[in-house]
Amino acid sequence: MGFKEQLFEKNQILVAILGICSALGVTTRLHIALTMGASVVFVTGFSSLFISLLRRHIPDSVRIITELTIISLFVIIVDQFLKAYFLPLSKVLSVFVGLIITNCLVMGRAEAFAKNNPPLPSFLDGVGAGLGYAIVLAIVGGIRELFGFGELFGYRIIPLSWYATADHPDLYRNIGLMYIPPSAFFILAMLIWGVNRYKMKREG
Amino acid sequence: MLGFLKNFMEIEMKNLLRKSLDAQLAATEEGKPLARLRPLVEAVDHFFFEVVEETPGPPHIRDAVNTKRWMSLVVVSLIPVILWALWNTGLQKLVYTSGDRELMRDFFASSHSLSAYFDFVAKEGRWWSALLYGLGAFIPIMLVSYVVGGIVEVVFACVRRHPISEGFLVTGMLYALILPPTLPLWMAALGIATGIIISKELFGGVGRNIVNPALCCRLILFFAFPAQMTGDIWVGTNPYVVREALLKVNKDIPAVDGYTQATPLKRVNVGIDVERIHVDAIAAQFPGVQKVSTQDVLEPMWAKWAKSHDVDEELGAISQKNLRQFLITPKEAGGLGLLAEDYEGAWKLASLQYEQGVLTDWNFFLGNKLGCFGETSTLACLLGAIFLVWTGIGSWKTMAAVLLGALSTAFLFELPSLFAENQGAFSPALFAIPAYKHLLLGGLAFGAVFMATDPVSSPTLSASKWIYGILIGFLTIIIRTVNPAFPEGVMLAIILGNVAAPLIDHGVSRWYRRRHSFTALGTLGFIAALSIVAALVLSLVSGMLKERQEYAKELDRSRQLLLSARIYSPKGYLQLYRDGEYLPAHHVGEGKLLLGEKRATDADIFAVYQRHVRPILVDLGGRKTTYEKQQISMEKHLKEWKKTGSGELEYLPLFGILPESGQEPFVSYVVPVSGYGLWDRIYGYICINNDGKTVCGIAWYDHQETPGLGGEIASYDWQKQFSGKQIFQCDEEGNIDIETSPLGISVVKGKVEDVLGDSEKRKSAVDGISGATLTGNGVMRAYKDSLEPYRPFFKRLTQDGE
Repeated sequence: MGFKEQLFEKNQILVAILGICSALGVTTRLHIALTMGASVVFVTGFSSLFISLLRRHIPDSVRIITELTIISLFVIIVDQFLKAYFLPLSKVLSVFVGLIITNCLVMGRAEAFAKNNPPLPSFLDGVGAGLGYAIVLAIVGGIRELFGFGELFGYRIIPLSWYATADHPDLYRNIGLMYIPPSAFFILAMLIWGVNRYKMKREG
Repeated sequence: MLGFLKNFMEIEMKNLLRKSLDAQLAATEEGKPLARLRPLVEAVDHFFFEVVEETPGPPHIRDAVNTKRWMSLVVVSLIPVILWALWNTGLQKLVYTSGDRELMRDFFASSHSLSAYFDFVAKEGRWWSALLYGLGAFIPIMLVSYVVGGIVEVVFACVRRHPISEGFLVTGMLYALILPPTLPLWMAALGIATGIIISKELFGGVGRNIVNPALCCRLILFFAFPAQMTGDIWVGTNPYVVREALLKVNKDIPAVDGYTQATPLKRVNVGIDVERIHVDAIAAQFPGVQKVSTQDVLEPMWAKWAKSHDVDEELGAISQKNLRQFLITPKEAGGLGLLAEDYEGAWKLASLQYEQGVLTDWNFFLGNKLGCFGETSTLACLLGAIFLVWTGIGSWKTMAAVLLGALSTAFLFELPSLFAENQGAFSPALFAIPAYKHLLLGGLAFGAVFMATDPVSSPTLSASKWIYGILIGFLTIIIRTVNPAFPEGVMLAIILGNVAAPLIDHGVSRWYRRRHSFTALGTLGFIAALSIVAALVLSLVSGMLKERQEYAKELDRSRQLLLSARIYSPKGYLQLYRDGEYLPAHHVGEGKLLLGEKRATDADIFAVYQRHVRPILVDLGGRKTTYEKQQISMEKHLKEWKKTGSGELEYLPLFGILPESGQEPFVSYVVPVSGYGLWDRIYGYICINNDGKTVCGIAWYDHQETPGLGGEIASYDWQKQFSGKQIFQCDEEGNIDIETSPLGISVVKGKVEDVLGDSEKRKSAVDGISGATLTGNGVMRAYKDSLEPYRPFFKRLTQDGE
């Protein structure tokens, strides 16, 4: 089954290098990254499921637009739901939730898998792809929040007593780079390097 | 040594058998005198050895699992059903033919828990006699079925010169399992002989039949001997013995309350004249029934009847005589208008619906009930179904479709009686039986699992299986509920389904073929349908979430306002101002605060807002007034403000912040701010202390700025630098003139200290956001434009302060 492969070996971000844009934008903090990840899991899972259910009924000439309609349907549902129950989070995520529609990852799973496979495998494939994405986002978000803010989920991890003060200017400081999007690039690049390295080693 | 012997024997026996069979095969070759017997020899050959030839007819299976193995797997799947048939038939016979009232009562009492059930059967070796009875009832019928069926099969095979099929192994067993135990053996023989000939042999033998042969055999019996086949007396082997025994047991019990031998399904078979209220009126008297479904309608009717007849009995404790009288009195005379001949039927239905005695759903599911050999236990059928689906022999689609069809049809029948007037008290009782009960009654489970899935007589395409199954389920319930002549409809429904199967397949395959060539119209239609469905779903979602979204928005707005007034901290707790510092506090009710850090809930925010924030107005002369005084609706006014900003309003909106005491005078004022950011309008608050000059705090609550860049205006790290800034900007010399100095806060490009150094101007400037100069400019303009109209008000404040 494609589910497990999607998590690591065929991870959409690390291997297919899809969905990078949001991976840079919403990973400043862990809970934001996880919310985004969960939204993508929901959207890829269900859009794959429904595209697969309709796969024999979709006229080929309007295939892409149909897939987009289904994907955007679920994206809007997620967006509305976040607005109703997690307004502050939704404000932080802002356009990135809407941009799941154009996230190549979702479209990629629809085109590469769901349109040719039965509903259950498609659903699992979609959920797997989304989870793989969420895991990478969580790693990036975790690293960025830990070193950028010294916190995880908003709770302090690196004790305040370690921090540099006026009296002890040589102690620890938050890494300013982590606030800004380029840091996600570096972290992602290192993750991709690690995965490639691992695969090469295993294949001999 | 032993092993060797065993091996030797095996090989020798095999060789011997092979040689003997080869000789027989040779003797029955084409043209030899015994050629007609060849199918018989072949059948024996195929039974012992692998078949080498092709598959001549459906089911077309060429696999390690060939037709023969396939048929044996079906028999394996029947094992749970057969075992239960042996056991239950025997046990029911033991109880019902005993004529012993104690035994019957014990049995009924034991049916309520598994442990009591096992205790009951373990006592006095009852299990042994039950098993013997069961064998005695089932084995003869099974043997008759096999022998007679086999003879017919062999005769036809020999005459027609086609091979004997293993199919009759399955047919014979299925047939035996769907017969009532009371059936005389000769009838069983007649049924299978005529059934096999008519349904199978006439159509050309195995694989060419259009209806299920076992069901056809039963169908013939059903129409030939209706009395034996309609479920009146289906227990034991001799109906007369059972009748005598029951008469003996029921001697001192009122007729309707006695033990009967009718199958549970037969109880459902009442006319549509029996209404729910009749059944409920009876059920209300049953011990253990607290409240019936039409209690509210029933109660006043009974009270009225009791009053007019001088009867002093409560509903639930009505005597037999009065109850009957109440029920059969015509409606015009205040009774329930039940026909006298329906009384017994209504009683039986009531005991079924309200699970009296053994008539509980659990007993039905496990199979502790009367009925044909194989149909009693839904659980056993379920086990068989799992095996069939697991081995890939039975189609789960068909099974699921039958259940789906039956359940939804039964539910449709149930619906009107739920929504009719008077809680549907006067709708037919028969329709109001809970839909799921239909699945537990009669032969529906057995039919769905073993009969409808017959690969020869059911359709082959996936979609047709769904249609076929749903059709069967639908017809079953229609026959059960609408047709008073037949209590059970499964058999008829499946046979009708069989007949329709080729037609369904034909239609579906045409549809399949057409489906992949889309016309322009089809594509348009698809797009239209997709759009409509999507629009429907979205409007549904937004309708469902609208209220919650508005709530969340209001909560966020309140929170941001409190944040700008520094009553709320971005860390999630409330704050109190003490000695020049803001300290963590928590809500203690009615909006009051106490020191001590605790996360603020939504309710806390609203309560604190309620106590500390007063929406007021300011006229163009800077005088405070209220919404009430000006008779302006606050909601409308704020909406108006959102659209146009402060510039064009006659009265300016403002929020006064009350101190801890909750009493005026205000400690600060929150001015709503709006302007254009980079992309769209931005909305926020700025809180000015009551000196009219210094900023207490700010917030931006609604913006579409770029996340990570302009969006940072919503981050507290940026917002906190506003506290203590001056809204009146000084000139080059550092002088402020309240009449003319520009209002607002500058957002500089970079850091204030780098840009302005020690200049007095730094007092009204904050750091810019890197990469968001345009947003910064927008913010600056927003403050300037939003604060300007309030200048007279600030002037008054500064004068009051001075």
